[in-house]
Amino acid sequence: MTEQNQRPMFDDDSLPAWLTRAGITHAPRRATPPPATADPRRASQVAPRLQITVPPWETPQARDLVIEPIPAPMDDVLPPWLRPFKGTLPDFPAAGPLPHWQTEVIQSVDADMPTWLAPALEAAPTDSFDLDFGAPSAADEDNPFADLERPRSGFTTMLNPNKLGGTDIFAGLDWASESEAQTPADESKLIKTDQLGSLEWQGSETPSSRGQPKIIHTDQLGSLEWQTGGTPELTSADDLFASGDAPLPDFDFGTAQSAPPEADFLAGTDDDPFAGLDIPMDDDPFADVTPVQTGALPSLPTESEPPLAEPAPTSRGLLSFLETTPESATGALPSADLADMDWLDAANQMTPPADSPNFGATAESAVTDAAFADLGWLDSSPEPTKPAPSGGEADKDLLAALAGLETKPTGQTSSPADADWLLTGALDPAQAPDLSTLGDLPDLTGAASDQPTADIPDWIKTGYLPDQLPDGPPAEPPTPKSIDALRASTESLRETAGPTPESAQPAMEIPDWLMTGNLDESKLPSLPQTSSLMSAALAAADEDVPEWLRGSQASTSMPNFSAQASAAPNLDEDLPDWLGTGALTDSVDAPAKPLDASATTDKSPLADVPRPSKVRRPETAVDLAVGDLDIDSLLSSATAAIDLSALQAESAKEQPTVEADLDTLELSTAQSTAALEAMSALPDLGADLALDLPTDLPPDLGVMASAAPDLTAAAEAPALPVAPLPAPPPAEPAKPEAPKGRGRGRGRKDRSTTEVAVAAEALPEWVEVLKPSTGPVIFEIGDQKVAMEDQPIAALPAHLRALREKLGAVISLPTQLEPKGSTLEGIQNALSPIATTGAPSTAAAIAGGRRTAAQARAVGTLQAILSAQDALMQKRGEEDLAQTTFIARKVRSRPKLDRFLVTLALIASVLLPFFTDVASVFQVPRPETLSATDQARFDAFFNAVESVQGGTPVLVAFDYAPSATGELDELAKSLLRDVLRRGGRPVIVSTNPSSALHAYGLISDLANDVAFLTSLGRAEPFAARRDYWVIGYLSGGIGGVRALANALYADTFEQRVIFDQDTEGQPTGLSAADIQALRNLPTFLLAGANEDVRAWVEQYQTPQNAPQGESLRMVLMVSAAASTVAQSYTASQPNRILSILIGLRDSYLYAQASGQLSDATMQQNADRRWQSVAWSALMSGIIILLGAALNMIRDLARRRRQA
Amino acid sequence: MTTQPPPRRRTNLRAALLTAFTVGFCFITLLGIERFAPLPNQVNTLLGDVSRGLVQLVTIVAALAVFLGVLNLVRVHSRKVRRFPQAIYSLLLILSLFIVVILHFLERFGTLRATDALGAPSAAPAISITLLNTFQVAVETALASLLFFTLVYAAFRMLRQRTTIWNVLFIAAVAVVLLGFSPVPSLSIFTSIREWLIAVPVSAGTRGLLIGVGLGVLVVGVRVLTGRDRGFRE
Repeated sequence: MTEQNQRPMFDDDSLPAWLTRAGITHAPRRATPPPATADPRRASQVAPRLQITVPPWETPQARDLVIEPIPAPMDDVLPPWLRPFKGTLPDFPAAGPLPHWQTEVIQSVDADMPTWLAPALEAAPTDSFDLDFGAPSAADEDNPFADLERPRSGFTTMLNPNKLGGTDIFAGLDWASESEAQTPADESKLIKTDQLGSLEWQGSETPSSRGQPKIIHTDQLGSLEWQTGGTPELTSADDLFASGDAPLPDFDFGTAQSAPPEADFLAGTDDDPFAGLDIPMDDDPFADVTPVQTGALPSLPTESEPPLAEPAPTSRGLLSFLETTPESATGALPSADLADMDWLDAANQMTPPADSPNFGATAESAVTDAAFADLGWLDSSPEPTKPAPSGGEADKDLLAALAGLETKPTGQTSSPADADWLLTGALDPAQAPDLSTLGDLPDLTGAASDQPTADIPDWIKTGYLPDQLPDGPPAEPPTPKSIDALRASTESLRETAGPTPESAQPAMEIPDWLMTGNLDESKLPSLPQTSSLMSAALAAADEDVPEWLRGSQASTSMPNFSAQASAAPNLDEDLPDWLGTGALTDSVDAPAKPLDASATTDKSPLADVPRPSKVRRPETAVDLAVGDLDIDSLLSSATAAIDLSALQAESAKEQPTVEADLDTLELSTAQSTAALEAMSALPDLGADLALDLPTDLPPDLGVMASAAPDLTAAAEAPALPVAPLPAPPPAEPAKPEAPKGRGRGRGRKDRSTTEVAVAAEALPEWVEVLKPSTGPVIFEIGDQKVAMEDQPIAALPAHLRALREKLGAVISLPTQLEPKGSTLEGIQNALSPIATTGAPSTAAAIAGGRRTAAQARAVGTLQAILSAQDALMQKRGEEDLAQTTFIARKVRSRPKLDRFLVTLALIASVLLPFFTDVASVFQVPRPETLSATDQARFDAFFNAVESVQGGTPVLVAFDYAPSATGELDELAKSLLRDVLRRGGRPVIVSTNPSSALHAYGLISDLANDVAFLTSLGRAEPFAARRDYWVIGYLSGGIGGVRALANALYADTFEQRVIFDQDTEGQPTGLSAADIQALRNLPTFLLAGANEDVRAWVEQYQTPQNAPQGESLRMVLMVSAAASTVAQSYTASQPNRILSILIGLRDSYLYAQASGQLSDATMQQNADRRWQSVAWSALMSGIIILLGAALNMIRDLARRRRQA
Repeated sequence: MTTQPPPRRRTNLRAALLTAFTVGFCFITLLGIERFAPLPNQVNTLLGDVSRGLVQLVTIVAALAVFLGVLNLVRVHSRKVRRFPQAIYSLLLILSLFIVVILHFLERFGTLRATDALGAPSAAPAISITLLNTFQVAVETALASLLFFTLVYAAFRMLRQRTTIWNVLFIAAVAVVLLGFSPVPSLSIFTSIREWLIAVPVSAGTRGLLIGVGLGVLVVGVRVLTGRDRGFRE
């Protein structure tokens, strides 16, 4: 089915307005309710309001698709269910009464919204509407997050191109810059980075230019799984909202937006501290947080404010995220809604191809089969009976994350990375904090602080999460002291690492309120003091914080790096092997620091919580380059160090970029002990926080000082108590159950990953996915793509390790040339393993040529084939050479006697009559002895010749090649003599250039033949252009013959062309009467081949303008070779072809009959010649019969022997 | 599944124009060759004049084509001359061409003129004719004569590899014709057989060939007239 066939039959514009407003679009084909499914999660995610199904063309297909760049006017590419809202909705709050549907939405949202968020929503007026991604329905009763509010997003920004700045709002998505270099040939598996707006935090190198969307292998999105949480499958844009029969998210138009569209966009794209984070779709941890007065945020530095159309590269990254963490925790998120808006923008920017990657189920829209298949990781949820939260519920889970953030003094769990897996229902009941105690939390908003517990969502109260959050010290804001420590460590790190392009991010890109760490509280009227809010919230929630979390949190809500530094050794003890001793310490002596997010996250108390990351997107990977340093390289190097500890030194030389970063970090780590250890102890994104530092900040501020004020407060917080950490993950934890079922992504995964994940046996999968270095390396073979992942050596099976060792040994083999004479002769190590086999198992190394066992076998097979082929070719060459030698020797040694005898006999028969009369044994033909038939022919011929009167021009055509001169020259001479003797004036033409000249010489000889002249009684020779004419060559073949025939009947241009000049270029002097006389007499044709005969007979005919009844007659004088055709024409056209003379015999008869052999010498020569011909014919016949008899006997004898 | 429509063939305007011209001129030539009774005499006359003009145009173009062929021959062999001595024959060809042309022009303009037996300047281009008869005619005749030996020996060995009825028949026909051509009185029977062979089987076969040729020409003409045969593109 083509896409055109799948498109709706009519557009929304053709629908009545009231239908469009009600969201009923494409009703006949799209309003089909989703089919019933046995999946309980699916049933619970069906949104009750605004059920807008997705058209068939938006349904995910079974393969990846290219998400095409969105053209500037998005009307054509927006999902149809979005179109009705474009320009038709009144600004909110509406001046007049809202439509009923909008009122319902508002009411529904208000009912679902926690009361403590309501004031914030009501605080700021808005002229935009928001979308409610599904309000909880009755089916969501079992959903612990059912009471959570749906994410809101500024769809105004999304729908208004002006607010997009007319440019690519995803221009800041630079993390795909590396993908440009590996633009695959098959773009069907590409995702345009412009459509991944919410991913922009992951890259910060160069903004993608408008109109030139960067291309990312979908394979590179694999490592985003951990961030997408419950949306492991990135399928298509429409998957963000709805897929297949899933209802689309409800639009909460009644939800107030606190910022005008421009402000939304500005915040969401540039100023939003979370914009740089990969807050994928519904997993945005702050999506559920009601945006509170984003418009009141402190303005950005004006001098550095990038244009809206071109959002600055995401230099914020994790640093920005952490900087804003306290605000997020307090609910005074500067632009939490903007984060939603960001990903919503990205989602809506996407075209809805059939099978674009599934970014995951968003809200209730993600209830399609594909989405659930992608959510297969939920099967491993500790609470299998509990339905996995839908996208909307996941958004509600964001509040859980927020709650977790509040309960964690470090505030690190507020990162989206943590939030998503927290939200997706993958919380381990045994380890996750008991969020039910959050009912005691103070309201994050000032207005909501007094909200009763009843307003707390049910899932919090019911204790969906395990009740393992022990009491903890109350949160305290970080103190400047810790900031100083961080600043110092960061400065030392920067000095060691040196300036990098990324590190040169101007400070102006960081909002001032982030730089100073102080929010302008005056601009946050509805919010309580951040620190107090956090303190209150954390104090209330700290009791529920488990011990392990409390230990890592210390007694403050903000990360205390110095305290963490002391806790770092303990953390190292519990680090996984790949993060611990084997990772970074093998290469350098510096203490290992989990500098990557995965490492730190792994040490999170919630590390053991099953993460959904295993459900990786096939063929997707994400460059985790964040901030100033290339995190991807860092992680790659880390992995490399893990994999090949013994080859670390060599790998450092071979991969300067990666290792340089690694060394830099490690050196800096060694130099700054406490601070960096604290950084290393930072869960998740702590390292990124330290790395994503602008270099041009004033020293007093420092990069870390530019963090949020909570960080500053955290500096003064007491050190983190070395609380007993949860047991490290077992060496080989049970591999989470692979996604089952219906997912398309699963099939793709199986297809795209050939060497999968042995490391999963040793590490949690989500940790593995966190490492960008393990992102699949795409091997492109034609249109096939194979994704391979780096795996630790320890995780490799024994046979692979053995193979690796063998290949490493092969590398050291001396250079060998291919054997001489082989196909690959002279090529060094043509089939030898590539030297990079022993390189660290980074992506580049894998791409360079690590060979698997199958590949090694294939190489061996190829070598065997080539060897066999070489041997065969050599053998054949030797045989051919021997055969050639034998043949040459045979030719030289065995002359063919029979051939010699035959040739000798023929020569004797030909020459003998000319030397002796003994050979004249054959009877000479005489005219008197002719048969009646021959006599008639000769009579007709003589009649034609005798018709030539004195002075009459006669057309003679010489059309035989020089090879036929021996047979026809005598006949031609006889004819010319007879014509000249009769007073005729031959006009000679020819379609053969050489024949024309040969005829000229022939008639010239006759004209000057004294004997002939004497016999005629002429004293002077015949003169050209008076007694004869040699017109010469008639160009054009049969066309020339036709032209000649036409020229005889028309005194036109063509006549002058043919007859005006002879072959010497002299004027012929032929008059019209002479030319007309040519058609009255028969034309004598001397032809040596069938083609010549056919051309003349067929083309030399009277033209249309010829007088009635007049015809051009002919007399054929042909060779024996052309006799058959000439005889056929002669027999068929007796009236036009008067006679025919054939070959030497008729020539001899004609000469005798015309009395041209009057001289005795001429007669003798003619007789000898005839005898020679007779002897030759006889001898030839005899020889042929003799040879046939001998060979026949020989063959019969051979057959008898064989029988 | 919907079947994809076959891709549309791209219309080449140049080919279309050529086809139109070709078909048009073919019709004009055809009507000009033979008077078409339904048409008025004036029209037939006009068509005949046009047809003759076109035919004459063909001869002129063909003459120019010969000239171009000579130039192309010189160009090709001039390139080959660079690979001397492998291209010795190309060198000889070019030298012969220029020598003959130069001699012909010298003879034509009277600079170099042969004399006849009486010592008077020959009217005919004796030098050019002599060169033709000495080289081309002699060489071609010699090659034709060698063919005689070759054919005889081939017929002699024809039954060596395999004896079939058709081989025997062929050899018998050749022997009968050769023996019948030789005026040996005792072999007059072969002469009769030869004449019968030429008059009946050979003539029938030849006519069949001519009919086939005629049908082929007719088909080609129809295809050209209908635009199906566009050999002019090549």
